Amino acid sequence: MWRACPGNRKARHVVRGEAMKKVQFNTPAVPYLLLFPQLAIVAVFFLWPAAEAVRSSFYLEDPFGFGSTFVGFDNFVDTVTSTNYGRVARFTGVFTFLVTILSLGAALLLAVKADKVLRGASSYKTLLMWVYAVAPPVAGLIGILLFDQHVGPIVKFVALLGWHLQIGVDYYDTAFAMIVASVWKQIPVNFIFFLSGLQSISKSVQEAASIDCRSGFRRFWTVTFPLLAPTGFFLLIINITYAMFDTFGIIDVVLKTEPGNNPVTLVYKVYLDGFRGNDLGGSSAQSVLLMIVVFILTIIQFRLIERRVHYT
Amino acid sequence: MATITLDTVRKVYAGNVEAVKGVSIDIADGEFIVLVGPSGCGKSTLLRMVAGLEEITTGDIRIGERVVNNIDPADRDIAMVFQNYALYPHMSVYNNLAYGLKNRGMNKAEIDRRVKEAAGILEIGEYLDRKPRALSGGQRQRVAMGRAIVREPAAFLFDEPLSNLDAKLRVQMRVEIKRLQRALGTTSVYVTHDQLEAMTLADRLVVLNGGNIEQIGAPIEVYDNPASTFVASFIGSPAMNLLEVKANGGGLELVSGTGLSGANVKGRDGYTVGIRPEHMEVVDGAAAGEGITLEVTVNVLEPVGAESFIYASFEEGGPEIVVRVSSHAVHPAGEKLTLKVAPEHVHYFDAETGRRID
Repeated sequence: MWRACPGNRKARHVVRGEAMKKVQFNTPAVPYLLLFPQLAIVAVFFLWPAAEAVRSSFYLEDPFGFGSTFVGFDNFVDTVTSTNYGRVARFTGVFTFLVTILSLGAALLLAVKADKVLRGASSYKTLLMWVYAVAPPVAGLIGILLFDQHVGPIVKFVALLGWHLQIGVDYYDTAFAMIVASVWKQIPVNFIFFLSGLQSISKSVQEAASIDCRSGFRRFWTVTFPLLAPTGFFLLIINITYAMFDTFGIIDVVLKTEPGNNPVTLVYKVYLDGFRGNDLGGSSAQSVLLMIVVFILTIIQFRLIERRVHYT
Repeated sequence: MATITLDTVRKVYAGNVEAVKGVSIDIADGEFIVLVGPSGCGKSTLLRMVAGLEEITTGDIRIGERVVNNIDPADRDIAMVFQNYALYPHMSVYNNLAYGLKNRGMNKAEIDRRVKEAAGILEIGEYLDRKPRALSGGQRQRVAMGRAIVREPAAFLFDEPLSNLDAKLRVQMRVEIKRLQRALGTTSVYVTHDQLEAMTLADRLVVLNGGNIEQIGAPIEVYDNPASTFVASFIGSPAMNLLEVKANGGGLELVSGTGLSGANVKGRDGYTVGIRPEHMEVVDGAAAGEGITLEVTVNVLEPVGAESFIYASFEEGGPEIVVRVSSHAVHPAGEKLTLKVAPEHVHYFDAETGRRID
């Protein structure tokens, strides 16, 4: 969420065409003083660790902390050429794609339906948003319970259809459980945004469309959906970052910290290699690569959102 | 082209709020009908029921010969112009006009012909590639009109289309809407709260109040013979002067006791007497002739250019009346005036029901 926020704020300014309020300070030090807490947080919790990661990605660390050797780009070469890294990267790609598409699709469907509910609308919406308040590890735990080998209702249900789910044993079954839990966790956020997006579409525009177009389905794709596009694009970026980075807790709980041969995402692999494998250099190299991905995503978001048409 | 018939149409909202209480109107083919009334009188609800945007609680609406109660808005063969224009913000002006036609499966050449023609009539040809947000209010208004015209519908429905425009543009567009409607001859229903707009546009006015029809008629007919005190005070600006009077022997007097000489007593105890500001004449002393004579004191003289208005009262703190005089008349505050009203210009209303007594 953090990464995408600046873009969102920017977007809102474009939408309303607000002029920034200008305030003059008498002493030049005051604005810096006011900025200091924010800058300090960025420096301590982002810039410093990031610089540390970049530095250690060029070193081979002694696992017992006795010293480090400068190895240049060896860590990066090792990472990129390892077959396991390719496999994990591919899984991360598929995982991210599925989680993003499924959580956006389900949330859009729910939002469109919720927008049409007239009676008991607020309690209906509250129920849908509830999951938002659940912490990722708890979501993972609930997921584990649902997918439990012996008592999980989902396992029992699919067994009726002849599918014997084996979480933590079968590669694909484990991936399936991770995706379901991650999608479930992300739907409420998307739902809230889509719903507010839908409610900001002028009612009279929708009425004009209902006079111009008989088919509700066609109306949705030609009028409602294009008007939701700015919201949708913003959510797309949010969801990609979520699926890539914020699903760590869910994955950890599903794997019960026993990855074995099971699917993991790149972020989880950074943790595994660094803290379980004690390969700090290799792990740092991987996190630097991930930083580059985030950087590229942020640039895309900024550029496209700025260029994106915003309707007033 | 079609007639529109409303047959005892009612609208009851959740919570038993009755917005429209059994309204019947017969609209002739090609007629320009204006629904006018204060906010909350049910005029917009009525229009939206004709459009199909609101359910009809009871009663029937017919467009042409067809009862449209359960017909989709898109199938009613109507076009609506909304107060905030309701243009599709993501479509160019061209596509805003073409959207409804495309959805009906019309061929491209015909769509193009109609869009170009409408754009020509409304002089928006050079904006066809623009998005609505790049247009001014007046241009958006024209695009909204264009979207209605291209469909060549049986009826135009206007929901306060001019209320978002500034005063000058409003007058200009008002004239244009009238000219356009005359040229196309399309049956139109127009909703407004502005009595001037209603007077100038309508073939027939429908004055609504609290979900009921107060009066239906040609604008000048409604102006000359208001059916109730509500219509009398709503149509015309400044509003008609309404004075509460009671019978006193052979004549009438104000509630405060000031006599109204020459008033025509109709055998009741209480009335409301209505006199339009332009029907009072300032005379010297007790001039002869029939009609009511009023003795007043000037409070304020308000010149507006082409004419002036005198605000005067019968006694200190009593009811105030408005008198229209020529723009060069000089009447300082405190001056005592004698006003004469011809008998045919005095309207009588029942004090209780507010209905007209002839």
